[in-house]
Amino acid sequence: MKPNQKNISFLRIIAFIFLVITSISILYPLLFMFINSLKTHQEYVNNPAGLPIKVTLDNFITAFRGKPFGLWFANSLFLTIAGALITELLAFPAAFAIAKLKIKGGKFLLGLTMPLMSVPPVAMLIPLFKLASTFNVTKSRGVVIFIYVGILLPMTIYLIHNFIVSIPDSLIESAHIDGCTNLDTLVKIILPLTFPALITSTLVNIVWIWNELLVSLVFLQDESLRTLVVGITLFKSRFTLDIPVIMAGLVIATIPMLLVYFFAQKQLIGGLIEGAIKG
Amino acid sequence: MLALGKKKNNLSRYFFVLPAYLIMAIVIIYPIIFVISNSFFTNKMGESVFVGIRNYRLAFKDPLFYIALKNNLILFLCVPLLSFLSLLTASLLHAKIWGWRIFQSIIFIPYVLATPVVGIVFSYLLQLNGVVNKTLEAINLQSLAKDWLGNPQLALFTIAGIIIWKQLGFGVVLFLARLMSVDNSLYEAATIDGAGAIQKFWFITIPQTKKIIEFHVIISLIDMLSWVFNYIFVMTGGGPGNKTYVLEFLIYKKAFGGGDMNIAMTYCVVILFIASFLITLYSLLLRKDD
Repeated sequence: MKPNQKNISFLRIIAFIFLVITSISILYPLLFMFINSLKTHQEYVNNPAGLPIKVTLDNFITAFRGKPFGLWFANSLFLTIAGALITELLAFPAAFAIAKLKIKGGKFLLGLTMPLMSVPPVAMLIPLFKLASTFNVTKSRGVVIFIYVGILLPMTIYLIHNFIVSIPDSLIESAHIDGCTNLDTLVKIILPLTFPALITSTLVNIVWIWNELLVSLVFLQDESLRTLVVGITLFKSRFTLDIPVIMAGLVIATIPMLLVYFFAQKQLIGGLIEGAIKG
Repeated sequence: MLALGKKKNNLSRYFFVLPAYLIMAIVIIYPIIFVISNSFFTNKMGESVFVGIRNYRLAFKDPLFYIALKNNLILFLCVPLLSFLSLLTASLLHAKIWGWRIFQSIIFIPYVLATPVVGIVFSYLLQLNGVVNKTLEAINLQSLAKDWLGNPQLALFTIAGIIIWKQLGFGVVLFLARLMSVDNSLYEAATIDGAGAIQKFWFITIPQTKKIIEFHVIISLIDMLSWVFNYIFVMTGGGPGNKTYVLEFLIYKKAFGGGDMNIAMTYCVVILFIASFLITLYSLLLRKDD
């Protein structure tokens, strides 16, 4: 028994070291971004790896002065909130109807979600751009939100459906007997029960929209309409000289999602797993 | 009154699904039909002219297409490594290695970061005179210092490594959730029979997570086909020497970088074809498992 015991603790030490190295390799790039956003350019050139000797917030001021970072931030926030809310608003009743209202072709509609999730967005862009051009709305936030909603609906419906399916049918039947319409049942009975799944899928969608690049890059080309992620991506290619300022821009774009993660880690991870495991 | 209400209810059910599916039809299905049909047309002075398979012949002649296709295939080959690393890390966390909760939280962080942010940070870290190479030099490993994103032979593999860096956390939480529901007595019985950690991994963990492994592999293959544009756009722009083109980037360049729209749509058909192949494969696997 003894050598085996020793062997196991030895393996656990190896495992621990492996996890420490993995964690450092994940945290260091983030740390690199944060510490360098607080350095002067000169200090970055001399010492890119270490902690700043003298902390400065000038880079953030420069970023906000040189480019409409505040406006981009607001644009991102608007698209994210509107896109995530509208997606939930449409996915929730659809998932409910498929799961509980015995609509014709419900199975087919649910089966569609997985293939629809796998369509590459780049293949949708040309037709959608042409379609938007014919209506003269290529530079419209509304169109971008519409596209986000379309891309996110399959996964959201799938996720909420998996949750609603486990609600007992008897609850819905007794609501119907009490004279509730389907809409009443949805709002009064299903909504409170499904709330955790709605929160979770909203969080997943918020992260997705905030970080999205391709659609907003193609549609929102006016500087006043740009999102933060597109803004910093193009910013980097044009202002490569002052790296700490770029790092400050990245920090601004990253902090909201890190906050979401730290305050709602369980819900976020839970949602992703929920969607995947039952598949 | 009651009967009327019932009838209304019957029809109203369909209005619950209609808006969502209408939007998906416009955003996803309409473009699929559009690119397939337009791949057989060309634009001559503003008018669509039917050209049969001419676009396909032209598209398959372009050497860039083969570079892009080859690169997507190389990324596909990284998927087993990603799945293996995810499963390995998950089983270490499942073994409740000291501090496993903190490790799990850290490993998942990259999932919430924007790919452009990740790409920009890594492109500075991996510069020729960047922190990574300087560190390698400092510990006397100059021979390992490379131009990670500037060397045409190396750049794609560097990007693959960064994709694994970003995607690892998703796989880890996925596998960990499955492992948590595996009956612990399996592991205990194996321990009594004298099985080591590696045997347990091979004979219990892998068979018990088979379904999730399949799911993770397919999802990751789709990621490597449909969601790598951002990495390429931010880090290499297809370079150096066009050696990091992938299908998505090729389509973007042809469509929005002054190329032929119809050829771009032909490449869209190719990418859709591969995606539908992956989905079919997955549904076959699911059916086999049931």
